[in-house]
Amino acid sequence: MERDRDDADFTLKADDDVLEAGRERAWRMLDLLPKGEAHPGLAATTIEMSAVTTAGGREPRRSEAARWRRRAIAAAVLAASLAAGFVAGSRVNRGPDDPLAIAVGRHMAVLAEAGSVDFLRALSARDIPPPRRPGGPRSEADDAVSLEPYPALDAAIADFRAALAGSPPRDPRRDEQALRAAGSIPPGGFQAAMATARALAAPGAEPLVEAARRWHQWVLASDPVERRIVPTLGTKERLEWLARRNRPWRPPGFRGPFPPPQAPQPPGPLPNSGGPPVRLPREFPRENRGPAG
Amino acid sequence: MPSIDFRQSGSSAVLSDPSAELMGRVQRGDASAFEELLLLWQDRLVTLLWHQTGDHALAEDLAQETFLRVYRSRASYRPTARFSTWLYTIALNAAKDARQRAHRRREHGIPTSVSASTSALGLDALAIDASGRLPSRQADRNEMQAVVQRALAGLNEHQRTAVLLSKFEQCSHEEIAEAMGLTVPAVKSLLFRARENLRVALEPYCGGAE
Repeated sequence: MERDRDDADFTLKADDDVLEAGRERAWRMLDLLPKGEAHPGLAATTIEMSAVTTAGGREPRRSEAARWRRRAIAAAVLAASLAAGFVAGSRVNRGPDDPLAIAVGRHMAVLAEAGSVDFLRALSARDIPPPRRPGGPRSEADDAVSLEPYPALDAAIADFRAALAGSPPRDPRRDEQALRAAGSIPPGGFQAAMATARALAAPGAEPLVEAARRWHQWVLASDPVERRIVPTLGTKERLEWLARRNRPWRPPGFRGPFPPPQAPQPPGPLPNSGGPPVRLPREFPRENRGPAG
Repeated sequence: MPSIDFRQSGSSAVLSDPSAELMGRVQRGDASAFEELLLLWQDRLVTLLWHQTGDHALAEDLAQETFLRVYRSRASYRPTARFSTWLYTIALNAAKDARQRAHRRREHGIPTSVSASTSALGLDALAIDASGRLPSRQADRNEMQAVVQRALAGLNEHQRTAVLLSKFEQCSHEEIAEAMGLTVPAVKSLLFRARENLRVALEPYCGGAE
């Protein structure tokens, strides 16, 4: 009886050891997990965003002296910024009082996808058909994509128009988020986004709006990886991408149409011979005259 | 709220923790210290959040959100614990908020691997998948990485967090408990169950890994 109990204890202990060894092996296998790397611009963007957040009034309370010192520095920075802005002739205003900057921040995704005014103009100047998914002929699914509405663009244009008219809808929380988003864009990109917003909201902008809508359809019809990359491309690369995607579809193995029939060649000297046709003498040995026929 | 003078505080945490000292400089308004802190921690934080959420792009967004929260609440930082514990607490809260927002909006959801309800199914699928393989099969590194990632994603969120903090950040049970807002016994229990789940999921592959 005692011996049976000892055997059972030993077996349980052995099982526990086996299980623990298995856990340990599984734990060591976690070393195979890949290391992540932050995007190279993450630090710079975060610092810019933190500056915008601070300017947005979320600065922690400070002592009176520090506050005055900060105000003096802020005033100096403001004066310097105004001077720099005047010198640069920049008309960009991304402060909290600029309704268009807020609207731009709200609709950054739409604007990033639409790209620059130049791109939209170039696109509207071309006769771009509705999209087709790669690897097959045009299908009903492609037609469905081409008919799909683009409510985000409509909402963005309505917001831009309201902002330019001076009657934007206000929502403090969303406005703050929008300002943070706007603050995260590098200055050049921000100016381009403002210009695109103005162009899309301007009277008579229908061709540009249609171009943005058509471009959106093409982006939607692309595969998920391309969908993330394409909006980051410049005007030239976007147009090249579109040209590639817009090539007519050919089934696999198709090598193009046969060459057009050649007109019969008139009898004459051999090409590049520069002289009359060569005639072999009758007495030339038969075996050296080449194959008969 | 006045900032703390770290050099006079004599805190042992600061003496042994360069990040805490950098944070002290951030509190004193040193912008370059914040940048140093970012560069020091961004890759580690992205790795942690990537394996936590299963989405690298989302992990970068959350890492950025974490650093912004660090910056905003810099005045409230006290060097009583390691800086990393404070950072992980903020990061985990940011991830939790993002998940709740995604859940509410039902738009850009965090991958289903995070969901505890699907985690059991994930483990089952992994075990079934594994059972169909020959034990002697030598999977290559990428394949094994994918297997380990799936096994990790199959854990529930709490277990996964505890594993990541313990394994990759070398956090003690106390530090994990503080970051996750749990008790130390709860963390020990979480880690034990996580290790057991990983064993079940990875045992069929262990021969290939070693």
